[in-house]
Amino acid sequence: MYANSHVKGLGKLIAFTVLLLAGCQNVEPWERDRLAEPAMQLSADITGSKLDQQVFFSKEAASGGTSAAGGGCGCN
Amino acid sequence: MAKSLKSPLAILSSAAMSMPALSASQPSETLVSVATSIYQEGDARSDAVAFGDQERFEVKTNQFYLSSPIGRNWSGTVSYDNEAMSGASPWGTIEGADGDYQLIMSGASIDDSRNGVDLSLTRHWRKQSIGVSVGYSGEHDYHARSVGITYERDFLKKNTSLGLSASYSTDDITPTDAQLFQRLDSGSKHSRSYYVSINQLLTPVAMINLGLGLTRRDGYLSDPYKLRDVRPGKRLERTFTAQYRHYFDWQSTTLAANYRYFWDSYAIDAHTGDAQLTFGTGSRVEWGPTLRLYGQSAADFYVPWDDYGLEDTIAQSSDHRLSSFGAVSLGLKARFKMGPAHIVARYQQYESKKHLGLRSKTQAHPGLIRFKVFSLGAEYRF
Amino acid sequence: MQLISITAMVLLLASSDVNAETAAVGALAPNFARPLLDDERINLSLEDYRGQVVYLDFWASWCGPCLIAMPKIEALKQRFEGSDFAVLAINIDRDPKRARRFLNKVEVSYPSVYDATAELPKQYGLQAMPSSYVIDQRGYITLVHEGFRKGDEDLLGAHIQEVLNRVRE
Repeated sequence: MYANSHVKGLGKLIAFTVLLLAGCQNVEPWERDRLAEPAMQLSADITGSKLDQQVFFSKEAASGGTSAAGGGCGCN
Repeated sequence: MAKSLKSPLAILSSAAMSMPALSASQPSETLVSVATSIYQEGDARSDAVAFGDQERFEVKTNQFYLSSPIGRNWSGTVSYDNEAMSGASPWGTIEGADGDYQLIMSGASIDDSRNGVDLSLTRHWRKQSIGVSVGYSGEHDYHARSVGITYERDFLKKNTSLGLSASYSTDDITPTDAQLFQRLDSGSKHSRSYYVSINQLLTPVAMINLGLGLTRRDGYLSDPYKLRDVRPGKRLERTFTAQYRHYFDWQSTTLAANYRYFWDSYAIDAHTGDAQLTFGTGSRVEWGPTLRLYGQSAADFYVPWDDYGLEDTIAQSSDHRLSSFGAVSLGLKARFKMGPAHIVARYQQYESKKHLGLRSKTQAHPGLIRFKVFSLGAEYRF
Repeated sequence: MQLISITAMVLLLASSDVNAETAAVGALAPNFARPLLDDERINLSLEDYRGQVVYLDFWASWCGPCLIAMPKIEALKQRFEGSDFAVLAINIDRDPKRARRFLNKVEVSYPSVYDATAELPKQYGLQAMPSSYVIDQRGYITLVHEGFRKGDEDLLGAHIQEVLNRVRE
């Protein structure tokens, strides 16, 4: 009941977001030189990101926010 | 005339090797990355410690990462981390003489090390990919195993990409000196995580990624090393994240700005925002500052000091990580490129601040920390 | 619920990547004339190659797979040396200087023209970078190839041989 209305709300939010984004400007494959820069990637520094995640996860209550949900460390 | 066909990758110092962000495409190069870091917490203030060693934590970490295309349609990653920890940590909190809270610290030097391995394998098609991953992390008293699956799909010539992932992990803890300190003998917890994200190219210089995450944890969630720490056996965590990237022609600058809103069944709300500027994007030397702001509210069972009058089945914890607090972190990062080899150096300084906490009612927890991290790494692409 | 099905439909339509201007297999390859990267005074046009099988390669200095493909394309050219086969590359860097800097370090014997305003990718309806086209002796597209992965040079070689054989029959 509580969970169900949340799932419906979530579904609507995702659907709305997707439609909104689908209406965005089309960036052609040959226009992506600057977007292709390594520093522009979400995965720009995988090693550094993993270290940060580990550090902050063990010192703060909040965690997650990336798809890399892996094993724990007994530190939180 | 002899033709020299040197590998183009070896010559170019600034080629962009992968297509934008999240996408189902097979990576076009192999990357090997190693890094070593030192994490040092500031010593607890002497007046904040009632009993025990003041020396706080230090962690040395070594990381290895390998990512590579495999054949025409596959790719894989391997990562290995090793952490060596030492120093004391808080066992509990008591009310001091002046009504301040004070820490009881463990005896000096918990010397422990953690090893973690993660493997993943992905199959790529023209517009989608499916990947599976497994992971293991272990300390002498703690073992965690996880499996995960990820699906990615590109739309509109990769202007839009959708990502879905799910993972399951099991953690087992067998506290040391359980008999001696009347600790739990052994406990376990299970976690299920789900994540959905959308990556959208906005303009030729801007991109955004939006994500929603959900994690359910069941089992023994308390900290067995604390004198009195009782947490609910279930925890539901939710996250909303937005990651934005923007390229400016001025000084070839890249802006990476990220935001996360976290809210869970412990009644904790947290906001995390970080921004990083990279100057000289694409050139031999890339460098820039980083800033991170964090603020969280307290868990609904957080207590400023341990109450032994309460039944030990009633949830309570004086762990500073469940109190209302915030933190500011400033850092600097630099990358030096020499063809396919890069050197990366990072420094970060983190300071907890009581006044950045959300809905804070009580005074600052004495266990709030400050720390510094320095890391040095090398990468090689071929 | 309705909103979700509408979204699903939109995504399904979007994923078909319909592009009215796609130069598809069987279509006549759009003609063009562009200056050489190495010497702006000389223009090369696709029509100059009528009568030969042409491998037309769109590349840029910022595209990793494009660069990995170069020595392999050079190898293809060597393999069909003596046949009616030619390679023509089109560079689409916004700043041709970057492309020249790169070409100075990698030696390939096939010519690269440049199209800094990206008119040709639009005309050819490029779906991805890199993209290459195999064009037969009469100027018709016989293959559209996206990306460049391990082993592609063998697939392309087999196709080019097949197109060369067609004329002899």
